[in-house]
Amino acid sequence: MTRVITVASGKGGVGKTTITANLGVALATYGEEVIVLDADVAMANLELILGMEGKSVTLHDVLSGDADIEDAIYEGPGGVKVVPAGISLEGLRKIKMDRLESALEILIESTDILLIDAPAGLEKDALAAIAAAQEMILVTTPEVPSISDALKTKIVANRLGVDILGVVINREQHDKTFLTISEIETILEVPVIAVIPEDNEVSRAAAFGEPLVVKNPKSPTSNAIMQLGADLIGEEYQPIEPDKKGVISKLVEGLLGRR
Amino acid sequence: MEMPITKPSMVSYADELDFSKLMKDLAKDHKNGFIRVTSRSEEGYILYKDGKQVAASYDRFSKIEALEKINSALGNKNTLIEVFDAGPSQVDYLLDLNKPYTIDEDSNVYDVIGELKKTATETPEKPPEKELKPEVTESSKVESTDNLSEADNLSEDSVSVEKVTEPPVADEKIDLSLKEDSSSNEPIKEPEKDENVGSSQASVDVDESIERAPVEKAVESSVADRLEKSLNEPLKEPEKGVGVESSPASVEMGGDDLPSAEKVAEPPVVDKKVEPSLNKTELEVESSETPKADEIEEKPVDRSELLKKYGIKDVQDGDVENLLQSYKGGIIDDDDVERVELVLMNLIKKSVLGIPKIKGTEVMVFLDNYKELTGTINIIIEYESQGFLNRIMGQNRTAVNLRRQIINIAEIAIKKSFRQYPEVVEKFEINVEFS
Repeated sequence: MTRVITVASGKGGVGKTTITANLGVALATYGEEVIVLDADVAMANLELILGMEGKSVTLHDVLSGDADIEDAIYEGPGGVKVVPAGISLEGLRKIKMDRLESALEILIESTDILLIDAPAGLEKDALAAIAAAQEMILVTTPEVPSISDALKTKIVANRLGVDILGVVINREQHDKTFLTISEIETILEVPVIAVIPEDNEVSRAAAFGEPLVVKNPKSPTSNAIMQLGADLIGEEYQPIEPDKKGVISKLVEGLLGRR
Repeated sequence: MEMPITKPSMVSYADELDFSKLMKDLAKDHKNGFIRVTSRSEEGYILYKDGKQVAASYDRFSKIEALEKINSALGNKNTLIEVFDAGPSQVDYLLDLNKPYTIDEDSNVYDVIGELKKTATETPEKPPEKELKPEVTESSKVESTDNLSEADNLSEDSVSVEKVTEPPVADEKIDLSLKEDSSSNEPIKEPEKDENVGSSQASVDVDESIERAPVEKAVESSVADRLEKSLNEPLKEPEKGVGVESSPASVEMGGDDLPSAEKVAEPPVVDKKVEPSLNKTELEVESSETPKADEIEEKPVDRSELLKKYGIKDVQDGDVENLLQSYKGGIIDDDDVERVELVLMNLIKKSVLGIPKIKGTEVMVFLDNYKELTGTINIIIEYESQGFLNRIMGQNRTAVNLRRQIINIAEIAIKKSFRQYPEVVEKFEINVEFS
């Protein structure tokens, strides 16, 4: 049975799209058939993160009634399939979110996991993305506004009968000004399933249009997302340690004949 | 700190590098440059000139605090250490550039640096704690850095040089290091001492110390030794004054403790004298710091307290219902469609007929309740006939105004009918015709 998982946050800019894109690639590397759908039609970024911008048919066209969903599925990095939202604002007014439901019905038939990147907020498009899923991953940063919005999203999702898998804390920092993991768990009443540290590598990877789990699989963020992916499907994941020895020390050891 | 990141001359992870040896080598060779320490998302720098540390930063900390943080970070096996070489003039420039981080050579910071260097390698490796809970790691380190009975009371700053130079706090630390030693050998004596003191807080702390794992004790003892060493010099002066203040009770306690302490750690004579007076000072420190400690340690578990603390508003059922109502697009039951059509029709008709010069009107309302509520309203107006001249001059304009007025009336009627979802008005198409 196909799992439909929405990644939602409430607040914008918490890294929801980055996590969705990388999680999709991570799940695909475990051999799952994964479709990542960018439901954020107003602020589409998924295609930029995955380096897939400029596709001719997008979700925009599907929701406008100008194209079929099958034509908007593209092969992405690591074998993940992607339905980009389309960056153009043209035709945004023509969009009918009602069409999302029928599009999803078709997508579900052709995949193991459908990951939906929900728009921020609780407007109709966001609610449609949440309501479409059976399961949800809540993304938040350890800051008060983010937690507050995540709380609203969680309660609405509960009401819509969506099973919340847990919270992913993104951009975690060693700073006492932020909420602790246990505080977040207490407030949201949802377990924390992953903690992703603040990582400059994320923006670097985005600039290259490459998912971080592909570009830098040794980074802490990649390891955290791979672990999250493994947990979701009950796989084992062995974190990839960064190269322990620097070039110079390797060279010295090589010269000394040690290994 | 602002540093020119080029190619490092050496790169290593904390668990693979003897940091004290590195520092010694840098000092021995009178090297110039800087060390970058990267632990998770935090970065720290130690700028050294002629082999001596001249500036330090770590995350948002500077100087000695930064060194302490770097020291803590070195406990993490994944901490990356990079050494960058620089010329003496370059270091001068960097020093000038990073003035706020410059370590004052007059202070005893250098001693502390030396000790910190040692701890980096001497401190036995703690079992790597889950990366998911970095704060736990940090707090546990704070605990190990602070001494046993103080652990709950002192924040990270407790190791700072400022506090170290203050006699009461410094005394307390030495005393605690002794307590710790004695507790490891003669655990039964500790509660006695606390009874004398009469401080429940202290007794709780000691109990905890007794129960601690041997590894933790080893960490603490090495830290205690380190502090002891670094504090020896600045303590010589306050020692006298403190000794005079010692109360009978505290002397008693000192008597209990000293033999065991001597056996284990063989503390210098200075420490023995200092110790008895500490209990009094300790009490003061503890009593004054307890509320603070409560704030740090007793994390509010209660959700409502947390929400209050962070000013987060809990979401009410009614709010969610309203939100979802709007999501549903104000969909009404199919049975209600006809009723709503009728109500809307009558409402619009009544309002339109209120406009002067309108002889009659016919209003038709068609609602579409499929998935989302939409509608079409057709309004046919019978308008009072005008004179010939009026027809030529201004009927067209009057008709436009009238059409606008009727559309407004219809929109108001829709909004009135759907108070919970006024946006539904945008889903209606309103047509006005003149007969």
